Amino acid sequence: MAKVQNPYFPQEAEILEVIEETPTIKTFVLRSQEPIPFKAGQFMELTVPQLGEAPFTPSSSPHKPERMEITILRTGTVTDALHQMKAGQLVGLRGPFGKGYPVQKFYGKEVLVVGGGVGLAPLRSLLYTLFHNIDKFKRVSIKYGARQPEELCFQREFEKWGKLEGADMDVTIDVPAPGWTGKVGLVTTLLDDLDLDLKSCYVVSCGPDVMLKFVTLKLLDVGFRPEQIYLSMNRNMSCGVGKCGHCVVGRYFLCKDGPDMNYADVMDVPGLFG
Amino acid sequence: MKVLKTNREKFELFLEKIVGDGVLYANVEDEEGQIHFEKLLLDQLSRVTLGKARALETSKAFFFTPRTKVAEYPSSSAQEITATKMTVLGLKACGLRALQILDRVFMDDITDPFYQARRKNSTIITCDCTEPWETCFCTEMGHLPYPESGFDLNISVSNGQILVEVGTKKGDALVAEHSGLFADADKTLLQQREAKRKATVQRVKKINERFGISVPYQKQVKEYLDSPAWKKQGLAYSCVECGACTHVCPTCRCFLLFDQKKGDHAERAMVWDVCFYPGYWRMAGKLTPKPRLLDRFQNRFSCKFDYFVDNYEAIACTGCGRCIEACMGKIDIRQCLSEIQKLEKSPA
Repeated sequence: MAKVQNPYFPQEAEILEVIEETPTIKTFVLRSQEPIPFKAGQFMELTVPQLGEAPFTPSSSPHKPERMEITILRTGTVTDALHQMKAGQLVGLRGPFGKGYPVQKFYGKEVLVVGGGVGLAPLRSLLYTLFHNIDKFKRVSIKYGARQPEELCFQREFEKWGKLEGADMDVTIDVPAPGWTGKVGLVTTLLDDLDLDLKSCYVVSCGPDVMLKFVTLKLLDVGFRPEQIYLSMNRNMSCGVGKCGHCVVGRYFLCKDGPDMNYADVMDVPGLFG
Repeated sequence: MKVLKTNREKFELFLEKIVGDGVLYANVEDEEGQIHFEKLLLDQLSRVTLGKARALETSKAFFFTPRTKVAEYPSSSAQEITATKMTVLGLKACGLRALQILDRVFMDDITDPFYQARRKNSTIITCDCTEPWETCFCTEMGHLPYPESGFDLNISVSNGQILVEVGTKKGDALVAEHSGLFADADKTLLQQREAKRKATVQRVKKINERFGISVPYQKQVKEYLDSPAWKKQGLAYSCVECGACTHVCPTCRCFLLFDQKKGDHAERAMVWDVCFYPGYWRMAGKLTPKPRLLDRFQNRFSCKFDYFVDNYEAIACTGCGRCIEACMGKIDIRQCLSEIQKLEKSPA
């Protein structure tokens, strides 16, 4: 008899390395017993043993499933405990869940990637996917913002990304800070004078709900259609398999139908951004 | 499908065989006339009540239990999933309908193995509803107070005779095994059953006449649930977010995976959850997409009458009325729907 799959059972994974991205954000490099293949945008349920689990989207390249990276902001019970953990300790993993970004749809188009704070984590996985086949895309344009310079994650990679043939990157912080010589203003200010062909461009955005809301409004304002906008949405997924109900956005289950939703599909949902 | 007849004495003999081969849960009536599900042993079969109305206990609890251990870790592989052989006798059409709805949730493209194991190891013997409660409204959800399919066996009581309709191969095998206890039902009995069924349908319709509601509800729920006019009715104001309605609802299926330390390892349980609770929606950092009670109240209606229709082609309400009985704020789902449907006729 075929063994019945238990979708709630976490498989063990070892923390290989912990990288401090910012004072509140760490990247955990994980190795599971079996490599877990995933697509950019799909998420994992990560278990802190004996405490519980929470949903996170890997920030690493789907082309390297044997070394999965998950970048986590310290902000609640599970993440507090995770931030105390060290290399060599064990966590649990379930997944991947969700559909992931519709990358093939972006072939031949310009892709605008808009991130806020730790929201750049899932987008980094997407960026690696896009960079892996950069010739397939007309251009990859990255707009990233955080409250203050210390909260920008993956800074060590910005220079490399910005210099890639076919890619560009723009970074801003919300308010002036000592020693910061870059742009100042909300990430929406980077969307003012876009040097992009708005008709054949897709946008992917990830960040806190309030940022997603204003990024979306801005994008619509500068001329994008709802169908061109993909949002990595936030809910507290529990089961990951479309049953427990926690992640519903209108008729959709973010865990199965998302978590990256086309804005046209969800724009009429009351209280979409809380 | 074929309909057989038997009498009370022989039917209890039949139940004896069932008890000998697993666990039997059946309806019993208490001194106040309330119907309950109880686990019955061999010497308790005379207490079985057939017919009457749906039990107080929610039907989902047999298959989607309030707490299910779903994993133990760390462990190199998931534990084996087993379920006790069980017969549930006395679900009414509403209870069966609820199971059919939960089947779609728990056994769709990704199967919940715990629910599936319990379903596979169970026999469902339904009964016609003959004395609906004042809170019953199955007819207003487009259903009937007697089941037409989906049961293994269905019981109707007519003039002291017990009619047993066979609904599945499993049910057929069960009666065939004990064929000495059954005979073919004659036409008169079937006609009597028909007349009784019609009378119950009329009775449920009569109970609900004052609400003036009728299927479908999706369009009105979509259009008016969020409207200021509906909110002005104040129907949600007496909700105290206790979660009673969702716990007794046979189709509410929200749950939470909850980890607990057990010695040197951990246990993960699936526990019922309630979309009325603020904590149900709360994310890390205390962010929430549904900060107001009204947002959560509306979610329950949208879930049942709008999202379920899109996702599973069924209204997730069977009209069992348990939520009306359970609500300490006296919120009546029929009244809520009635106000929504009225708005379509005369938008405020």
